[in-house]
Amino acid sequence: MRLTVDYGKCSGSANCVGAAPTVFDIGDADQVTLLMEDIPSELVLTVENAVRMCPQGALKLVS
Amino acid sequence: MSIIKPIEDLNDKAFNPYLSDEMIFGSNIDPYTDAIDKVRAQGPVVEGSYRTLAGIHPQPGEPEKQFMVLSYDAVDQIMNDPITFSNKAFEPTLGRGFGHTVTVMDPPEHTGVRKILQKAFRPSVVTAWGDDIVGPVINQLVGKFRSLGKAELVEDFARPYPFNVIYRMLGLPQDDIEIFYKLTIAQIIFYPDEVNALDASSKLGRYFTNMIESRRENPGNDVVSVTAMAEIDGERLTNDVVIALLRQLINAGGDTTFRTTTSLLTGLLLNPDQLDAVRNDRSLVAQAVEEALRWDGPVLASSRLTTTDCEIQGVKVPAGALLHVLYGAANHDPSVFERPNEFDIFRPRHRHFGFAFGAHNCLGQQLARLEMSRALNAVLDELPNLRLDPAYPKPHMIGAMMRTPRQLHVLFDA
Repeated sequence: MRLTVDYGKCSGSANCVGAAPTVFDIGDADQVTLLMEDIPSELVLTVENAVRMCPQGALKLVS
Repeated sequence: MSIIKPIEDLNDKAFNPYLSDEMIFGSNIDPYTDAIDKVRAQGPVVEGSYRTLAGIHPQPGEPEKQFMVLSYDAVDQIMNDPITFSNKAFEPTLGRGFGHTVTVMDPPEHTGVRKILQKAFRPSVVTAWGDDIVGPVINQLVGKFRSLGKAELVEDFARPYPFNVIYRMLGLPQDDIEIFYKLTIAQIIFYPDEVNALDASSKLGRYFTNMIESRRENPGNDVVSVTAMAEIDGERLTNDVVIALLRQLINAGGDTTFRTTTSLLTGLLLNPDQLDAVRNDRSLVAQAVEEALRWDGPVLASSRLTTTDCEIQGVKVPAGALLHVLYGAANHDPSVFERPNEFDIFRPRHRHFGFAFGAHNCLGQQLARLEMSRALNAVLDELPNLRLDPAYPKPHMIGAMMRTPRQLHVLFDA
């Protein structure tokens, strides 16, 4: 599955970082960085949770 | 760090803000069935006041035109459009108690201030709070009753722990805590009169002004220092904005976390099979927390003010109307959540409005999730064979705006 961020929407709430810290990072920045874009099957449930928690609907996970 | 001046008590020393919880938030046992389901059949948005429907007094400054927003999709539409649906709805209430806080701001002002506040709650900071503050606070409280074999988890545990976390986050001196807590509860009580709310607000304001000046002289990594030193386009946040945030922090971060923790514990204790499942498989803690946020989340009803004539899921609403945005109704929308009134940690995962959504989504939600996860793990680790005490009636949540059970009497193997 492939993960994307819409940087026009990302507001830096970093809820995704809390949900999946091995996939998302923010540090001191204003928007998140993806640590990987191709999501292995064992991380799909975790990343789906992160996608759901994004308050701006900025994340997409597509096959 | 220089010493901050002691906190001042209310002028009206006899005023007791703790007695009025049910007067403020309602005494409804099941507002989902008794109030919300009664109007849900009329449409996604229904004219009228939720406060009237639930039998609680109106707020000051309410406009005549009022609508209840009930369906999941209607609440979602509002959360995603902070321009049409303005947070100015809070100006006559929280805006006067807390001051000019992010909750009463709209974009674009909101966007810049929110960005700064997010830095104070960034993931690395929240994780460090977990180990340095949340863990020790929880261990200390549980340690007080662990050897007794029984406890009342509302007052012995769920209420004090998030407030103690905030006291430590702010670095409050022990001697100030009692009055500080009283003022933070009193500052949002506008009924039957607002005298004590405004007195509490101004006393907290003086206290925080002093604290901000002291942290600016000697900044650390705490919430007060980060917000007091933060800049937007080279300008610091004004004292008024920082003070308003700090006034709000204790209500937003203390009271809500306390209530949702009681929801989590009540849901699990009333469903011993689910409690056993979580006890035996701690990977279920996260979804138990999410289900508590959906089933009986911290804030059942929020407010917005329409800035233009608009349509919400096909229902025409005029400009200047007060919307009762019912997170509780959306989280119990039967077209999205099967058997919505049942607590079920195994239900299919779905986005909920426990922390709202969109521009005004809860700033402290990662801290809240961490606190509740740690609280549940500690209770399961330290209180073996935890169960309801059969000597007391079964607990139930109570309230129409914000909810908690009165008591949660439990037994465990000491």
